[in-house]
Amino acid sequence: MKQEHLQVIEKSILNDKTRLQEVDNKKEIENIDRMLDIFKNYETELVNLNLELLKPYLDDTTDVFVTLEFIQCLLLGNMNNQLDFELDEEQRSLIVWICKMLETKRQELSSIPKLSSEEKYQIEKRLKTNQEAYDILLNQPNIYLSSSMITSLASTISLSKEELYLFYQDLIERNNQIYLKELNKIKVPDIDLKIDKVENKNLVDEEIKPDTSNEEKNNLETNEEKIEPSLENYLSQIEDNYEETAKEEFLTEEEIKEINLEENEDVSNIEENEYLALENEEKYLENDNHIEKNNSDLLSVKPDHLTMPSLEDALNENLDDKANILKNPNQILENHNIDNKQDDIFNEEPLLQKLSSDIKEVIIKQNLKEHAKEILSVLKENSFMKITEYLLDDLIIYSSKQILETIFKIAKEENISNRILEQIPSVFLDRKSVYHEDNNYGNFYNFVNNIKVLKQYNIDILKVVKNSLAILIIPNEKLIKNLKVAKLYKIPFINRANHEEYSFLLADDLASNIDKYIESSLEIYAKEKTAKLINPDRIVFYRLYYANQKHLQYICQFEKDNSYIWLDKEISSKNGFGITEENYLEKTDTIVLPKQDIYEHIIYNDSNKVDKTILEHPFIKELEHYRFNNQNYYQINSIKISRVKVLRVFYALLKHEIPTKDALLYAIIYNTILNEKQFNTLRQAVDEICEEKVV
Amino acid sequence: MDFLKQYISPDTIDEIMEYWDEGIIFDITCNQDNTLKIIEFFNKIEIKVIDELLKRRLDIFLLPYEKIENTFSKYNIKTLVSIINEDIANIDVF
Repeated sequence: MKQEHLQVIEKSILNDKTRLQEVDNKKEIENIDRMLDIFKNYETELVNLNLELLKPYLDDTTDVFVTLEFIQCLLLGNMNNQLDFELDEEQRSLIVWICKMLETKRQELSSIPKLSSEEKYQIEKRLKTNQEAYDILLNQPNIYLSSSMITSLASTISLSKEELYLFYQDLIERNNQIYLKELNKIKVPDIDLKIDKVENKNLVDEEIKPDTSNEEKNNLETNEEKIEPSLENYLSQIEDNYEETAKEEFLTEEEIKEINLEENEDVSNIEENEYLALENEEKYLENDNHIEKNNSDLLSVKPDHLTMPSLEDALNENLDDKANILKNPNQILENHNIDNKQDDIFNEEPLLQKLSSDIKEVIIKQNLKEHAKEILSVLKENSFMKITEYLLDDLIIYSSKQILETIFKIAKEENISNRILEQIPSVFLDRKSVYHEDNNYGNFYNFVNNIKVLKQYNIDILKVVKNSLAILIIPNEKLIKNLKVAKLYKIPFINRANHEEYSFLLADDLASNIDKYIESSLEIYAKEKTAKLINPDRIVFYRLYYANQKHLQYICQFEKDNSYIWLDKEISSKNGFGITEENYLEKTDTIVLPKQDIYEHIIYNDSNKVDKTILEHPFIKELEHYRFNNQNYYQINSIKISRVKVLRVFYALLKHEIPTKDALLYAIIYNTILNEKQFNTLRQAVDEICEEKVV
Repeated sequence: MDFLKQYISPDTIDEIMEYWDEGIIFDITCNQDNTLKIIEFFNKIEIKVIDELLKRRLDIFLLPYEKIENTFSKYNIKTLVSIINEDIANIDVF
């Protein structure tokens, strides 16, 4: 863990303290001070902590909550590293105690009816993670901790049970307050906690986002040293393979470089040295992380909007203003009594007359006159005057001077015109508000983070704006996921006609979409026109399956020199081959394969990466015999199965401890169109693979 | 998205709302004039798959209308429309 990460966490605790000072809550301030003391005492140990293990714990509700988990992770993180010393009974019982408390608290939280489904999902997810930690403790008697933690940390922590309990009590009280306030519709300062959750979440997400754990990195570095002598030969081999692939796919070397894959070799095109190839992929991804980190470092000295602490400052400043406004509950009543006197606000600023009566009332009751004026002032300063009444209401409720200034600053730096911003006004809005109900359409954070991610991938923002503006406002996690899939499957950003296409990054399940094309023998076709990867019509794949089964000609143009393919109109027409939404199963004689919810959840969330080690798995080694002609698919009795799909899905399922044979079968049949006979063939192949290896 | 009712069925509107993020829906709603101009333009040049485009490529309607018109003018519109009608993925010419 880096010193700056600790500073971020410490800062978030200090922010909490500042807010508590404003409401003069002495008891809570004392608790926070204790927490800070503990935090400072651990500082040296924390620097060496495995950050990756902490990541899931750092995006939750309040600072107090995080701190409890932080301590839990501190212990568990070190345990996972399996260092030198055994966890003593007292320390073990302390972690069990923290786990139990966190579990109870989350169960309480998840039963709050006002929570959104996303919040509930997050809580449930974290409940599960906590349960796992708990299980580890109960089931593994020989868990080890680092010496430094034992000597200087664990003794302190065991003495701090009482203090920790106070934090927990404090948390319950504060959360109960929020809950009661929701029920009573009364706004008081502590409601800020809910907002802080979001601010801190984004802050932490931004600051702490390495994909590769320290352990993995260390391993990779060690391996890198080991393979150093043969690396040069190997790289030239990769280069040859690349040229070969480029010819096959009719892409020039330059074009391949353009898609940012020059340092990388994906899992698909190397016949020999597969292990090293995937290792290279890992190193490449690691390089990516370095790039991300380096960029972050660079960005940290760049303009304010690209440094999350500055952004946080801006937002906290705004929230502090709000807290001030709400500091004295009587002020609301006073304001309410003088609303007639404040009607002049709307005369001073004609634009404000456009506001709905509800929002006018909010401005008067909550004394938001200055807030409204500031917003209008920033819009005027930046000559952004296309403000519909619809948008104006939302700007008052969900935006702030700081948010607007941040967006305009980014826009200027990236040469994004006001005309473009007019098309995506959701970027001016946060999703949280202390004045009103939260919304799900504010895209401020998506916009800021998406620009950051695209730049990290060296993608030209203006080209994205021209090609598919919506990419700037899709959920940040979706963009990151799709960029990873693009690399894994070598989906190019530039097509044969030298036209840049980014719109496929909008796809909901990009990996599955490209798998379907691979299994329909149309990988080149899909990569030629990547927009086909966005929301493809599933019936098209049934028509392709039908045509393949009946040996019908559906590729109506195939120029060998440039690989330009057109599909027969029958494939995309509404009633092609007589196959429709109503009869596709019957007409193609295919079956619906049973789906396991847990498996699907794992695959959807955790299958964008292929780990190098998976090729060493005995079942995969066996399956590799079915790999067809060094292509991106296995061919089992003429059934084509996407190879990357199998590797990524199998790896993800194994990682989540799904039984190996089930995982292999599920990975092979995942999303593949099959009839019963073909399904049995695949099942038999899996049986044989597994039996051979067992014998 | 009620403003689209004269062009597409309520079911299609439901599908759009279901598939796309609320942020994009909000932006489209804030820019109704722009969206309607694009639809009118597509109608004029005889694109017949507007409902499919709205469902699967709503992002296209976020682009400024003048940019769409300008980009289309660089192509042989008849040919472009023909291939878009055949496969909406061909709309990606921006």
